Amino acid sequence: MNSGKKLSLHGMLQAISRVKIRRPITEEEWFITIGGSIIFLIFMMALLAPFISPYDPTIKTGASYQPPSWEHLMGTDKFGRDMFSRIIWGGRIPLVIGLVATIFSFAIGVPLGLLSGYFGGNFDRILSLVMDSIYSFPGLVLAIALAALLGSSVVNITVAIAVIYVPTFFRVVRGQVLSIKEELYVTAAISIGAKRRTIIARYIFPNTIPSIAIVFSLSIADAILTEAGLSFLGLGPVVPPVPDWAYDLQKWYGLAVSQGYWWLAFWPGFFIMLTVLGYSLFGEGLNEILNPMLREV
Amino acid sequence: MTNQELLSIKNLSVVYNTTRGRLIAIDNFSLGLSEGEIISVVGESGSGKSTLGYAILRILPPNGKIVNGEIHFNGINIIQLSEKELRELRGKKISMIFQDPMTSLDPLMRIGDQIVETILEHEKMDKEEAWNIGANLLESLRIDSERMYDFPHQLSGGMRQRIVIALAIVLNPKVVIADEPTTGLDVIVQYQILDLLKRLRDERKISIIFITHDLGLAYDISDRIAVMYAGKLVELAEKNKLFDRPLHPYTQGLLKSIPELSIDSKNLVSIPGYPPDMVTPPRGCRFHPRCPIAMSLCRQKEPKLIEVEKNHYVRCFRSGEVAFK
Amino acid sequence: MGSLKKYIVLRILTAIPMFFILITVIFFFLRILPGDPISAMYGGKLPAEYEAYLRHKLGLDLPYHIQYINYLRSLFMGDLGTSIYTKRPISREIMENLPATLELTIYGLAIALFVGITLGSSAAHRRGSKIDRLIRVYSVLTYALFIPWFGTLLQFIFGVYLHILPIGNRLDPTVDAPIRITGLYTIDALLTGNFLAFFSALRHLILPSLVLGIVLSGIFVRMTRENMIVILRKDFISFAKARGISNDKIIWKHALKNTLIPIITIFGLQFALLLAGAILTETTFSWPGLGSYLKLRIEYRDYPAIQGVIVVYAILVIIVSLIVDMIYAMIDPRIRY
Repeated sequence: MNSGKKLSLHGMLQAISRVKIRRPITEEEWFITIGGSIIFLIFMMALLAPFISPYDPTIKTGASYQPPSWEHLMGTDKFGRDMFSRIIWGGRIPLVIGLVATIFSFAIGVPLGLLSGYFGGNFDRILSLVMDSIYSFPGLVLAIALAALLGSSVVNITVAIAVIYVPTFFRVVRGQVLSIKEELYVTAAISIGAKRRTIIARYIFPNTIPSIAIVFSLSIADAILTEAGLSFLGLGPVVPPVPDWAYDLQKWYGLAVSQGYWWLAFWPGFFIMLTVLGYSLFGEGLNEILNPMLREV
Repeated sequence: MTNQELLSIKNLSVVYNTTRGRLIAIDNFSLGLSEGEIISVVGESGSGKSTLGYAILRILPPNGKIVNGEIHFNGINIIQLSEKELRELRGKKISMIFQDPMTSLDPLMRIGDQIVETILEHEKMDKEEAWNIGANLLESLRIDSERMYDFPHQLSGGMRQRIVIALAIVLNPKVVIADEPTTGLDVIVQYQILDLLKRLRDERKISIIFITHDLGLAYDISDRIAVMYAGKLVELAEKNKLFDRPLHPYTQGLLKSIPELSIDSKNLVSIPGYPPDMVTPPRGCRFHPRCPIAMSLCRQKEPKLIEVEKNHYVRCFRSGEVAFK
Repeated sequence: MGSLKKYIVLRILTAIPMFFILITVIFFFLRILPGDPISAMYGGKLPAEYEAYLRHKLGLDLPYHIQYINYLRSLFMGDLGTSIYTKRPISREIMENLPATLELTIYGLAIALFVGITLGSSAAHRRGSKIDRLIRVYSVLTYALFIPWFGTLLQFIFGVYLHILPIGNRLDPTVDAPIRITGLYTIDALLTGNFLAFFSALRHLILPSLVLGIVLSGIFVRMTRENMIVILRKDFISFAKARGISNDKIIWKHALKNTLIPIITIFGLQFALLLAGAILTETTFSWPGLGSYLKLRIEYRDYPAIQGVIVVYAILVIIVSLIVDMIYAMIDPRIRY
């Protein structure tokens, strides 16, 4: 129906070119643009940390517990470390873990979903049961179990989080395959004797990409929250004094409330949420555009 | 048109705001309906015929809007009614039956409760009284009143559509708009439903606007037939006149596509081409890209609806010339 | 309703293999994956002999299939082992902490459902309007909320700054816990007519359950909105309008009921989020439930206790999915049992 505009980000186009027909920028386009910008800025911040951070985040640079000031934009902690610098550096671990874990989940969940949905049978039944049982289980608890019992190194945490989101990819892809399989063009391809691999790769997989894109973005958001949750429970991958948002938050939230040192808890949590917000805005925007259930008739 | 019209639509235009732009669903449409009359509105899907029903009841989807025209019922302009007045009109004066009997009923509510709900929304009485009215109505339509206790999924398609009709007329409306009420039903059931509608007209003097894409069904049930194309009324006449002497090339094409002696055809395939995209309709006559006798005037100027002979209206520069040979 | 009873029995029977699979998956993750709980917990700081002793004591030195059988056997006898830290039976410790978690979860869920359904429905039938836009932004924002941060913020505002609400624990220190019947303080207090305890418990519940409820409400807003948009396009909605049924009745009766059915079916899966959220909420508010217990035992490296808590979560998940299916069967007349 209106496939012409998909993902064209007409909002940006509208600003640049004046040839296009004018119509108001839709919410989806706002969501994607704002979400994308947040993700980009946070990544740049983490990437350029050595150049933009005013102080070394691991050493004493002033008095303890200073509220925000011009020297220390976000104040200092108990050890006199500059919170602003710790925030700039502190995104590196959650950003990498969120991204890498989701890529792992994608790399395992998508092929399994494709095969399971395409071939069906007992293979599908057993795999679906296992995936559903992991999916129905609280992800954070599973991550806690894995981290607590395997040790909480960066690699283990990444694996633990990756495991949680495999079923999400699996379920979405499998569901899509089941419906696409019945489409005429797939039946036609099968009847003219196309190879299975060709059918899956050329006809089925491309049609699952929109859903995968949505799930990918939302899973990263979720993975970052899970990583933060683990760190908050004392199972984080960082060893002090390496800066990490969630670690700082759990370290100081008690003091923030009891002593009024609000900056110590406010900023780390704020940046966790800003990152999550970026990804979920992006995913939500994609969802509204790509989800056929919500499309206008 | 005449003064005793129960419902009269004048210069109605309806648009939908879509992501691609403004879609003109109904363009400057006029039609009058007398008491006890059945008019069929015939057209392909996308011709605006269903929108007509929604517009009359003012239940257009949120992105739809009446931009021009008047709809008079018994002298009241429906366009100017408040939401509260509209609610009193709906169901009680004008009612509507929808395409798909399978999805027209709330699946989670017993038939009886849906009937009772409709009655109580308009009349002050107790539940039991309303229930009895419903049961009597079903009996009078030769439906077992035990069906009141059923959920929609327990009924066959034909039975469901009969229940839908019962629900639509439970408050004795003057006008019923039937939007393709026989879609998805088999031929025998289709004719049972048509008979039921005819009986409502005969026994209860209900006027009906019968919306369909099937000229055969339209002939069977109606007094007059209105043909719509791309949001425009292109031809309107008494049914025998329309069948004997169709003047618009589109009507001629539609008639040609009915296989002889068979009335259950749903195919209109023999007219080449597709209905136009209503966001960017063609200039001039909307039908010219598909019209075998189009001339250069048709591409530039839009023909007006003219009364060629008494009570036979057509919108074509070459009306009466035979196309589709 | 005889057939409904039969359905319930059948459904309980099918829950058994589901439990079995979940338990097996957990076992697989905890034992077969590379790594070893004892060295993970103590980081190789213990003498090798003592590590070996611990392994032996916990049965971790046995072959996997024997471990698996032992694990299942003790599970079916309701035995979750003994805590390394307190030397008490873990099942008893968990039972002591479970009611606090249930109470928090129930109140949090009630808030999440109420907010989610109200806002979601309001957004759906005003799709594209300013209100819809605001509600969608709310839904995305709450989804991004990190519970400890949000909890700390509310503690700071209501507990420290305004000084009107308590920021931790289940009761004021001066108030005795009500006589234990269900373990849910608000219910027990009402049952025993102990209004002092009731109001104290309620006041303590406000902040944590608000935090949990608001954070989860975003998901319910989203689910309600999306499902209701689909429902509102159905013919039976137009038909109800055509019969003159009022808008309020159409939205809050016909559309909402039909919207809730798909929501209930996915709720079983969303319950996991609620449990995970409860862990962080409990930790933030020193709420003495399973989550706080879990955090404490992680600190003390109490391996059997951690495993026990995880099994209890699995049981909770299964019980909830059972309940959800039964509610579904009872409210949807189309389901055949």
